[in-house]
Amino acid sequence: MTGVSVRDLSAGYGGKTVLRGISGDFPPGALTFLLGPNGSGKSTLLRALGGALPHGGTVTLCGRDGASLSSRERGRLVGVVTQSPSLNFPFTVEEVIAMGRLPHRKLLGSPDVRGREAVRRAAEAMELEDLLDRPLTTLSGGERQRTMIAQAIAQEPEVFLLDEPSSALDPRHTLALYRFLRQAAAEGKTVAAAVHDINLAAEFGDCVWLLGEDGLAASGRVKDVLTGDVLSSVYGVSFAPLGRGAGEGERVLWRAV
Amino acid sequence: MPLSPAAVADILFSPSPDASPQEILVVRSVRLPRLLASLGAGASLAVSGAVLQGVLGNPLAEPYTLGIAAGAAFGASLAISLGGIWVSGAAFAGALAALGLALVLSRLSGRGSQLSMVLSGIVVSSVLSAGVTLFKALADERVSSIVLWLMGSFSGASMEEAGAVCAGAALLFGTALWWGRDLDAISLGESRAVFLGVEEGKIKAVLLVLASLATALTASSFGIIGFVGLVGPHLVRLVLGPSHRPLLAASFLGGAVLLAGADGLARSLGELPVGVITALAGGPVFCWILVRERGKGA
Repeated sequence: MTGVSVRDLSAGYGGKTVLRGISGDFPPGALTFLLGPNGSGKSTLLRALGGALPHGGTVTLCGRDGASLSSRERGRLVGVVTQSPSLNFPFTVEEVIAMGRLPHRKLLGSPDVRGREAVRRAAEAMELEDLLDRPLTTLSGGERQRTMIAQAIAQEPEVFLLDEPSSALDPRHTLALYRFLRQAAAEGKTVAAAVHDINLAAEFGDCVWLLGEDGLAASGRVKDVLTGDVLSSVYGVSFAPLGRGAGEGERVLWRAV
Repeated sequence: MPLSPAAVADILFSPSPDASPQEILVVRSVRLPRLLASLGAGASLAVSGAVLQGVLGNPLAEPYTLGIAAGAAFGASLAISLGGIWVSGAAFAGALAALGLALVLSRLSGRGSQLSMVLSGIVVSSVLSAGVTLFKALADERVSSIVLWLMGSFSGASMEEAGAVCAGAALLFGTALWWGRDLDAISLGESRAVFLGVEEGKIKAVLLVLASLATALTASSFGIIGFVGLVGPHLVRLVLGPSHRPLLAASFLGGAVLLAGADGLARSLGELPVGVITALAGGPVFCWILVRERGKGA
């Protein structure tokens, strides 16, 4: 149980390197937000950690060398939520969530009571109980996003990696999502979410990674990293304090000016 | 030669002394291999279509639209015009090369989008079909039956050919069924399967090779038969949904029945190439799928 450690990671697409020399930790039992301007490599980092993109350097997942994990082992350890699945075939919400059980399945598919329970709880966490029989193709963007998050929850991973998981969610479901992720962290899971809304990190985060043009610009506890000076240097625009959030502690919210 | 179904059953299972040698010959050596060939080819093409659609995440994919069938016919006709050795191997190599070419072209031209994949397949298919016609022109005696291939036909099917086609269909079907749940995840695209612990690269590669093999076995004996791989799986999905285990099983059966039926129709219309029937019926279905896919902005 050591969360996720990244040492000297580099990754990119084709000949283009997006990330170079990234080192840092996502501690277990904490909700870490990944911030940074467009194109700073947030998605690239999450895809590399999730095993969908070859990378240089070393990644340690829950104390195990990422390169030594089989696909199945990685699937049990890490749940990834990325932006927009393609919608070529009309799978139902329940079928899509149940795919989260793939890394846990037995060879000859014996009745999986624990799996069905996990699917039920995942649907409940994302308030999808009434949509279970609906094809994904007929849902709104936010409902699809909740379905993909529920798939990762059904996976019961130790590590959650989420890429803009609330980009299409209404305020009610945004709140439900980050409360769920805080709860998962409180249970000892490692949770990392890339977002554009700095105030989500200010409000719900334990830790922050701030990716800049030249790699990891700052990382650490929210109150240490999210300051006007640091934000200005990374985003290239001034930030002013907006007020205090409702969460515990003295959390300062920010707006670009 | 009109025969009642009961008489046919008699001839197949226990020929009575009343049956003429001619009737026995027609039923056992002409009609039976032809029926088995069309059943096997239908199953093979429909399962290939379902597999290609899932692996490539593209509802428009099938052996015909991706140029695999034309590649197989090209390889086979090349081998025949060079003296007729190793025809099935050449068909398989042609099928794989055509698929590879279509996928590379589609990636270069449109980042592998659904339409660019089919456009690339059509280009590859057209060029290779022209190649088949060229072989026919250059070596006309040996390859007099080649042109019929461009539309596909089961007339003159032998028991060996029918067996090879059925074996290819069974191999692809069994393998794809084993990986049915993995295919569900793979068909979501966007690396979803990787994140769910599926060995996506390996499974995709094996299934693409086996689908090419099954198609090559069909095309090298019976020619290019279009749209069965498209229509079969789509009809099944409308009824059973997209989950691959039931989809593959029903496509296997449905494809077999569809193509055997089409062949029966082709025969009763005066021995038309069966590919004419499948293209006439399948073309409009392709248009319908195309409009539906575009309609939802995929």
